[in-house]
Amino acid sequence: MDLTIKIGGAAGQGVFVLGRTIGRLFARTGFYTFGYPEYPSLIRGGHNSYQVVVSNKKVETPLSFNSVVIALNKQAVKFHAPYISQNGILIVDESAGDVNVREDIKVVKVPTSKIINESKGSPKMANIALTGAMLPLFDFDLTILNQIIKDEFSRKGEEVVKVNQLVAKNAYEYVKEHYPNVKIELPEPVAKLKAYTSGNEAFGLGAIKGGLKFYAAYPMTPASSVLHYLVSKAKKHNLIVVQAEDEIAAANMAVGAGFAGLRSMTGTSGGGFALMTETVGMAALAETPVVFFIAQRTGPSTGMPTWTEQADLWQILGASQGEFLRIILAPGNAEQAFYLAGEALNLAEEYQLPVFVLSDKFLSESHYSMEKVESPGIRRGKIVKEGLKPLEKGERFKRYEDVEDGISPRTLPGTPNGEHVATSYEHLEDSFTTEDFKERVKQVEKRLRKLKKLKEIAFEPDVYGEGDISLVVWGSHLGPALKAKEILANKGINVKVIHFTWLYPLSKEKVENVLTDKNIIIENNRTGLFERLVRAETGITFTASIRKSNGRPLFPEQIAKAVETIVNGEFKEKEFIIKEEEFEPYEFYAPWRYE
Amino acid sequence: MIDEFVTVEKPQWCPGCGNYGILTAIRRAFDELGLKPHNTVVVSGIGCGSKIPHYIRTYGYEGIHGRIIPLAEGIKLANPALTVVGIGGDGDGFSEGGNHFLHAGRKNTNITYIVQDNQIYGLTTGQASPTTHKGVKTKTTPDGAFLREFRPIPTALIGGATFVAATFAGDVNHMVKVMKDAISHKGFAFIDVYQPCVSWNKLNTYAWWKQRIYDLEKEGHDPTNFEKAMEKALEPYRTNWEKVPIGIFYKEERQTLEDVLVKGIPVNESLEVDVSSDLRELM
Repeated sequence: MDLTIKIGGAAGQGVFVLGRTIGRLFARTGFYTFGYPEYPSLIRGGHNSYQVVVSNKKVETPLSFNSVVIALNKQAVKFHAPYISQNGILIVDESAGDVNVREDIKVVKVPTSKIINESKGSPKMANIALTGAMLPLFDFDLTILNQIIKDEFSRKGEEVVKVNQLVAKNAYEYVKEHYPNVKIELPEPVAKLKAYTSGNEAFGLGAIKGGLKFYAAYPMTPASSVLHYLVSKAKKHNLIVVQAEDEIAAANMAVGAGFAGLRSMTGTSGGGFALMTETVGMAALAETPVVFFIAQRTGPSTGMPTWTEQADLWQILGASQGEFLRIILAPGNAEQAFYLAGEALNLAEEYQLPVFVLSDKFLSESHYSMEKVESPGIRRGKIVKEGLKPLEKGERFKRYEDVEDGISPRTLPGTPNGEHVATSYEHLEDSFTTEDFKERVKQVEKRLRKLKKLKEIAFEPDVYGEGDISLVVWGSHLGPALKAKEILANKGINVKVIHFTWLYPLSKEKVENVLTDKNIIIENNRTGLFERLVRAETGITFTASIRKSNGRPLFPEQIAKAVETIVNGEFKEKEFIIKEEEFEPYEFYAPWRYE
Repeated sequence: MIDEFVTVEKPQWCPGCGNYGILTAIRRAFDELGLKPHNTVVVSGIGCGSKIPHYIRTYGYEGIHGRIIPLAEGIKLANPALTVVGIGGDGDGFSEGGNHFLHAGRKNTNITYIVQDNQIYGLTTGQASPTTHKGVKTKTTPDGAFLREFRPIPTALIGGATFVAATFAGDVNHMVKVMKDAISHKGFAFIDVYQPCVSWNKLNTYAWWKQRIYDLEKEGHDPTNFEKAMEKALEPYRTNWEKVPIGIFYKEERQTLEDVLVKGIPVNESLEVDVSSDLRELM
């Protein structure tokens, strides 16, 4: 059973704090919880919203209906109330004035200003008041909320904690007294969760667990919160976190640190990555380990900065001149982001090449229940620290030795007899530059030989469920696809979901192993970028494609409806493009039209 | 032993190139400071002079055009026990890498940055550089360079570099002295090396420089006085290159980037981390 709570208000009213607090409350109570924020690229003004999805089964997607709407202002009532489910609840701050909604909707009016004044609180505490006001609807008491308030505000002093707890209590009691019969049924809390976290925080913490020691970045939405999170953890875990003067500097610093022996990473979005492009090739030719975290947003160019898209895949595939190997990974939720952060650091060092982790606004900024916390351990590859043969006068270490697997032993600065130059020029085995054709070919082949091993270790796509029809997704769209599968099953259409977290290089065999005869590929872009990659790498074509590029993720109900139309034979073409007007109510409000 | 810093590779610069003197000076400075090849990293970019890591037997990173400073900063932060020296040309540092040069002083990482400033693009066969003197004919300025010269030393001072010096590729002893001081300095040390390019720059020859340069130290310049340093830094431009001071313009002690960001030597640290309390925080 799924239940949803939508919080809406003006930017600056604290919609996300409220949303996350409510999400946390349910997660701590023992529900699978998912949080989905939407906001325009503005600091003040504009409409922000956050949907909390609560379930007794794993859920990692926003949903089309709202069981409860919490409206911080009149706009929120206007935007969200029409999509409250039958007999649902609207909690509204009294300051929003009179509300005019469907008759079946139960309206709970909370005089937050009055409650705050009586509790001697500050106007900023409207969030806490509304959270307190929500609790009686679920027959919750104040215990967990009081603990969350304590965790959040302890650093601001005992007095702040007390006032916030009082505001919550008074709002709670107000609703209990005035609306004793407004209730909503909840499933049993069964989840044992480790964290309620954004994709970016999970990625940052996974990187720390994976031995990350160096992160350099320049702020860019939606990658910035990785930088913020790592800065907040820098002292505790002895991380070096640098805000660089630009993305080119960030990338070069990360490569420098990787060369010197730290597990190192840089992070940005597509626009910033465009600036890093030349550095990617340098790391590839010099065979310096480095990880690039790229959180995609709606492009091209500045596009729609706070919205989502899976459209930068070929930018990463083609980044930098010349031919070289790279690895591209794409986690599907917080658990995978945590795991793959560490694995990316492992692969970069083991294979001495650039590794990319591809996220997007949807994954980076949504909040996920983390049930499993698995990390891949630390594997550093061929670093040689001792037992090096003394070098002759003028001789250098054979950093680019022509070894069978293509991965030459690596020495770190500070190691005697390991002296060499990591170079962006083609080079000899001992790292002197060369334009000798034979030596050039030797190094080209040496680097490319890593591919054999990479295809062996490439992860097989994850398969969820059984069925003749496969819904193929990559990265962030695991959650929506799994929910679509559930909706389709209720309609008697059985599908399995095939999810790719290893995007490149692809092993044809591993892809063929999981695909069926009827494969529908679902992508959050307009031209089918992963579809094109799979076709290029394996020759496999798809039965149909479902795509969307309006800035929002594909919602599960949209996927299900599109799949149904295709399966029933009502849709004869190959590319099914989701348009918002055909899919009310999922695209029901336009935050940029805020009055 | 200076031999420690020699590699089997022979430099391939034009006969008479200023880079030969610079190479000799770097090896001597490393030797006289008692540096060890394995604890030293020479970082370069792209340009004639940026081939220099291949002629000095230390660790090295020959990166891409314009990115010497951030690459060197990353290496130094990762392992502050290393001596990190960046070296590249005027096009690399002042044009392509301009933003990094602007910010390097603010960050004040403990690295040395040497610019082989020959007022021309050599490797790409003679185009104007940011420091090409007005009126000089180059491939891209057939009627003579018409933009005002970029001013490296005043820019470094304004940018907050904590060691700012100039030297001359025709005077190895002076270069060795300045380089040793720069490497010994704790903080971002910038050295502008006036360097003739015998193939492409027919104006700024060895003889031309010798007529104009003078040693700040012999004049009794006080390198702790910022205003005086700026006055001296502007002298070549105010005198239309009649008087060109070399030596240390300015020197101060200030908090370095490593002082703030780095505890110990991170490359020696264990990578095993317990994140259970961080997870609880996220719950």
